[in-house]
Amino acid sequence: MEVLVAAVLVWAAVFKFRGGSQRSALGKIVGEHRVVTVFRLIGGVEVLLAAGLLVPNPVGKWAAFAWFLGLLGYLSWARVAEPDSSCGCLSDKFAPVGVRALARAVVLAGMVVTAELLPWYAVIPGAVAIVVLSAELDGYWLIPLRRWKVKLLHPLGNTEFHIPVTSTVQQLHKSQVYQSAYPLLRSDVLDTWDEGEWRILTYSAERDGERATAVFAVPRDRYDPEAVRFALA
Amino acid sequence: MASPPVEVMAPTTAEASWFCCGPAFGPCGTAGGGACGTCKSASLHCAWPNTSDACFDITRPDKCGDDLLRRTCGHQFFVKHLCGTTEIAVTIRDCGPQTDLWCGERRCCGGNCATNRLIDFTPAAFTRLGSLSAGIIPVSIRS
Amino acid sequence: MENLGRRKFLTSAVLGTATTVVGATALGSLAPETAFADDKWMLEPDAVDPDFAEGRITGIQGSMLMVTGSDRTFHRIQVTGGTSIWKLRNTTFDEAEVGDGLYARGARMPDGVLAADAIWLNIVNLQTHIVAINRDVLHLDHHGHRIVGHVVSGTTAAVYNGTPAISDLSLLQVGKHAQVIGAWRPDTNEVDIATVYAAAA
Repeated sequence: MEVLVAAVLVWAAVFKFRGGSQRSALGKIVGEHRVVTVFRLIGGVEVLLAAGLLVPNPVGKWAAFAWFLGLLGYLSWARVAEPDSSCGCLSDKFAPVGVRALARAVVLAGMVVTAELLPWYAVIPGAVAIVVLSAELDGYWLIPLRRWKVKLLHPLGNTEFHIPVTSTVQQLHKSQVYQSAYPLLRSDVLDTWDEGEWRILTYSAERDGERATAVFAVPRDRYDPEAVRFALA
Repeated sequence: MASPPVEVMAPTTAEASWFCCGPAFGPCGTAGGGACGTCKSASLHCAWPNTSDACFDITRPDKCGDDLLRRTCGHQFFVKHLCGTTEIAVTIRDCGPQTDLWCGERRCCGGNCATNRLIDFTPAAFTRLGSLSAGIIPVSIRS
Repeated sequence: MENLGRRKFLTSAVLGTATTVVGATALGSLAPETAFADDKWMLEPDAVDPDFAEGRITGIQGSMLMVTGSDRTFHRIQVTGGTSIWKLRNTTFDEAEVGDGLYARGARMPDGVLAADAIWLNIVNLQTHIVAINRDVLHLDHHGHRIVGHVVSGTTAAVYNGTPAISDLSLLQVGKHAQVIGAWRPDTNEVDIATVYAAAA
């Protein structure tokens, strides 16, 4: 069990020696320019703790326990104070401080102090728990799993075909007519309806201080921005 | 390969989107005052991808071949919709957008096109240039 | 009925099937570079734009919206026939409800009323990651907060790598980033999706 916790600590340390995360909440405490140094320092401590765990002695065990409690405190603070920041614990992948990061700190602390009471094979559920609780590792198992599910079930395979108004508006934007008329427009789309092969879009417009309605006719089912027609009514 | 730096005089073109900051309704409510602390949705503010080293490390416009000058909080740009005639002054109040997520994306108005997302506006600034529902508009930027 | 007549009139104006249209202008004469001098708009860096409003609707009286800004400013917003209203799609004034969030652009009158040119109800623009996809629902991560995005048949469009918008969402991928323009459902973490911008699978 100690080996597992030591491995997690070394993994965390290696990542921190590589420069750490730019988006961790750490910058808020120590200042942006010191983040790299502080990350290295923390990495050093983590390596020492890992070594302390591998050599059986009570000091190493309780030091690691205290470390994880400290981590728990830091993460709880980051979650409240800097909700947009990343955990910055194990990888540079953006992983906001969530319930899982907090639970992982608790599990690690628990594993350290209960290591002697548990049989050796407890390390397997322990490792699984750490992987499941690590948002940084989602890319290796959770995302592929969800993609696979989407592939099987096609939840968005709604086959009803239509031309979204957004698409017509985009085609309108490409036309020379729109380019010339743009300075007159005052509003977003007022109304839209279909007329044969055309989709009509209206806007509020202003010309020489007078209000008017700008009307565009855009081909609906084909892409031909040069065919767009315009009137000011 | 890389385009020249955004020079003081020469205008550059870019895609622009919008973001909310300061007090706001809905999921925007958690946005806060931005990297400069005083960003407000109802003011003519903008976000720039190179306000600091930490900001640049997130937005990475260089990955799209854009070599942007460092412009810090408070700097003013003059911006215009590529088809518009109105130019507005916007003040940097945040870091963004994340340019490298959308490298090569292009937006046009008529025959005038702009590539890559280099600036984000508050709703107040964006609506002086275009419609919020369009999401992204092509603009020109000069200092 | 009045609306149908108006549409008919405007249709004939733009497609030229009727000859009775008065005031319709052919485009040829519109050359912005000659017709318009360049305008400039400058405000103090932290000044609030006077011709803009943000907030939640607290009351509707006739065609006037009472809005309380998130900074506690109170706005009265006048809606006219020429005001565009967006709520997931372009819509009409009767869809506005108390509790809706809004952004409005217009002109501030001397009496303090904002005469609105355009109003966007509940509009949000979110930079997200797709966490999971279920039937007609995208689960999105927005800066560590979970957002439920509903696909609305007939309206929701997807833009892949900047290509024209289409109604086919099947190229969206779990784990990828996506920008969502949508309409927030007030006081929930749910949005109806208007347009989703994504990298194609």
